[in-house]
Amino acid sequence: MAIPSELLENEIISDWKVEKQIETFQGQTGGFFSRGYIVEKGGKKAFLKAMDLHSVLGGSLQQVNEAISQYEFERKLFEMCARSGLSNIVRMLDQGEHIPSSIAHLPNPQFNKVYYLIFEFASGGDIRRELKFDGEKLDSWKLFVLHQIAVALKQLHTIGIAHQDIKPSNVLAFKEEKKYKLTDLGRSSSTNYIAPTDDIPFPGDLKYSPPEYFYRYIPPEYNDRRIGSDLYLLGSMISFLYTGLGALNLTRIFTSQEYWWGIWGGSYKDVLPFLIDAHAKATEALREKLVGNKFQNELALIYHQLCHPDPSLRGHPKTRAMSNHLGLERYVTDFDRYSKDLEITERIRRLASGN
Amino acid sequence: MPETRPIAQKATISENFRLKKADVEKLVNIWKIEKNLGAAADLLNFSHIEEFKDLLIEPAQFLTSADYDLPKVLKDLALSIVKTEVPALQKSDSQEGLLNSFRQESSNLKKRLIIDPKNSIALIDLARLYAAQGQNEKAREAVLKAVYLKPNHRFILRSAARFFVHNKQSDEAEFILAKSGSTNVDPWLMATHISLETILGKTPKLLKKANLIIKAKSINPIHLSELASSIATFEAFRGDIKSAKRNFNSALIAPNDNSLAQAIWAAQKFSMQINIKDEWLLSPFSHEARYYQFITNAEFEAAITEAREWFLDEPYTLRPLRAAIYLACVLGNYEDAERIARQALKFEKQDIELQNNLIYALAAQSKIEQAVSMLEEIVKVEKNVLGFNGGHTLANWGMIQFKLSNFEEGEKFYKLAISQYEKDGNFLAKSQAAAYMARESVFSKNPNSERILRETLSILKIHPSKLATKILEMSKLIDRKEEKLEDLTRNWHYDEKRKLLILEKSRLK
Repeated sequence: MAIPSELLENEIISDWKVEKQIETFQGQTGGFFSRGYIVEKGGKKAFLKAMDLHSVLGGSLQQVNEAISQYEFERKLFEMCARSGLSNIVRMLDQGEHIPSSIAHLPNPQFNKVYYLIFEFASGGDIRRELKFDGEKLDSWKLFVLHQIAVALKQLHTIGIAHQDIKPSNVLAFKEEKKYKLTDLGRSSSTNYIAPTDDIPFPGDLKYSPPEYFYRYIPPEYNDRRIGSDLYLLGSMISFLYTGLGALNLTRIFTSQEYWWGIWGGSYKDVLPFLIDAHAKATEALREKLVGNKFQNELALIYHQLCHPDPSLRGHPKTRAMSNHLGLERYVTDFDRYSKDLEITERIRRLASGN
Repeated sequence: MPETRPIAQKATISENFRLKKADVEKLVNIWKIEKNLGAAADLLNFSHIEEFKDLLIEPAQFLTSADYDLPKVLKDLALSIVKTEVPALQKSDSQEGLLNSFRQESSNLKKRLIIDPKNSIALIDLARLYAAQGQNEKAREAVLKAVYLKPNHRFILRSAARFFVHNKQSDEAEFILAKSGSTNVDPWLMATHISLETILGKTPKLLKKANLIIKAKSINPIHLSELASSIATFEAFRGDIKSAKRNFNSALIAPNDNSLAQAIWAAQKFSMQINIKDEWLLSPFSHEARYYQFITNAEFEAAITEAREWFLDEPYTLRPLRAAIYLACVLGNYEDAERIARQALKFEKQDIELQNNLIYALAAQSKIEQAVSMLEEIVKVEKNVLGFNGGHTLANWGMIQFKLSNFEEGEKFYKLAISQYEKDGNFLAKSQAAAYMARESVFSKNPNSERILRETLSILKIHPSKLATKILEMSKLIDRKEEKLEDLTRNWHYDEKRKLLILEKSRLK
């Protein structure tokens, strides 16, 4: 028997017409939102994320509580982002509860509610669709994407939110606006609200996690733990865009097996020199991949700083030395400058070759 | 800031947030609907989680089968997931090849240090490379920098100790370890410290504490193996063979390459009976241990192969080279012995043992002029430093005399060497010297060879040695060509009182 969140096609929800269910959407796994839909209002498309309590009602009270907390938390954060006018975070357009018409007659309607969030629609999908390694995708594009992610992070950090789940599938292309925006705040932490994931050392995607969590080391300072993780994830996007691998996997390739988590039995402090050495090798490998890029050395250095295995050293060393901040704004500026410079260079090259 | 719930050291992740295999399977199925390069690469980033690896085969195949220009790291990862062999780098085992590898590796290390000057591991690796090329001052500088950066790190300190011992500065190694706060509490560092003090002829300060730690059995035996082995070695040198054997058995509960090699070496040196399990020797890094084991079993051809691999594994240490040179001489591979001895002498120009090995190899190839010329220099050094000629020098002199058909002198000098070793209590060297004497006597067609052989066999009866036996065996297999050689030693005589070879006039100036 279908659960309520599967019954939304052709429903009208807050004047939005639910057109069709889509197979894939961000935050689909490892969370509570089980369905995604394309919706339309006034000729404008949007994306609806739906959840109901049926998947957790058979479980414990804690699971029910977590599902509700998760929905509330995400809703509040997106509201905060909208209020603060964060231009690089996917905008929430609407939210609420809805009982599908086909089951509205059934007793105990409160158990058949669908909790939904409606977001602006990303016409270009996520950046995985656009990624190429053969030179087809220009360096200026990659730097532009990095700049957009860095801006989004800056915006979030300004209002006390650490994203914690920056990954390719959460970076969406908005072609009309010529922007890339971050989505899915489900794993975020906030200085304003208690998050369902506050107990989890690293709540983000394990594919891109900073390494220390695998060695069961949790940085004691909030800045290193949450903001530092965001910077690591930003750096990881550099290696993904150029090698297809995040920093975690790229470093692991250059780490001797005896120092891998699961095999290493000692402390993080003792394994750190080996990870630092592997990170240097990974940085050099990335630098070699950047040959031809005008900012080869600068980008490699940024990657090295952002993805440093020692969480207390992540970020810009000069900013760290002067304050408790990690220097994200410097990277925003750098990515912007490189992206614009490369765009001009590429345009000149195209003109010169008669294209 | 609002109150947040405390972070658990080992947080139990709620079932709702824990990533399950079914979730990854779902992601792979989603990818199948709209296959693209970026999404396939994204999925491969799960490869560090072993339980998900089998789900990644299809995306990996997608990446490798299509005509994509992939970054090498991604391609290699995809190939490893579909279990296609990743082309391995060719291991170079020629000297030129090794030098080129060193240069390339040195360049890579320097790049890593530009990226991060505080990379202590890269500094140690650089030191090893410098040491392997005989650039000991540069190696020392790199080691000291690493120790400054990480004064309490186990790997850094042990590597530093290894370097300083190789550089004949064991006291400096001991000082560095004594200064570190970790030596007192880390069994690995304790083991290294005890070994250093044994080398320096001191009674280890941490001996009592080390013994208590081993008796307590509260630490995983893996972490105690080297500690037990280092205590055992000290006890063996002290003459307490019973305690040594007991501690070696403790070390062998969970041996690593070092403690295993140490145990086998000690068993040979002190004639101790120790049980070695075959599976311990299967580790790809157990070259040293296998070398000793092959020596114990008199499998000398296999031993020399292991010595070679041991050197490739540890190119900064001379012990495998010494081993290889010696075995090459025993097996009659004099060209190889000469080549390896010359290579070793690049690192340790002044090493008399190595020079004597080279002299033997030269003389065995009838390169008498070179051999005598080198021997003259050693004689001068020994006179100034020791005040007498060492057993090896005397034996080599004896060998050259046999080559020149001066049978009486040949026998005399070999017996001087044998007597020297007897006095030193070095019975293994005594047996080997006797075996070489018999061998050279046979080769030179000395009419007294039968008698000399009988005397040698008597010595071997009292002090049996597999190496000495092998030397005798090999002497029956080689046909020697007749050749008349100029006697370049006729102006030397042996001063019995001063126990020195004296040159009246060198014809080689």
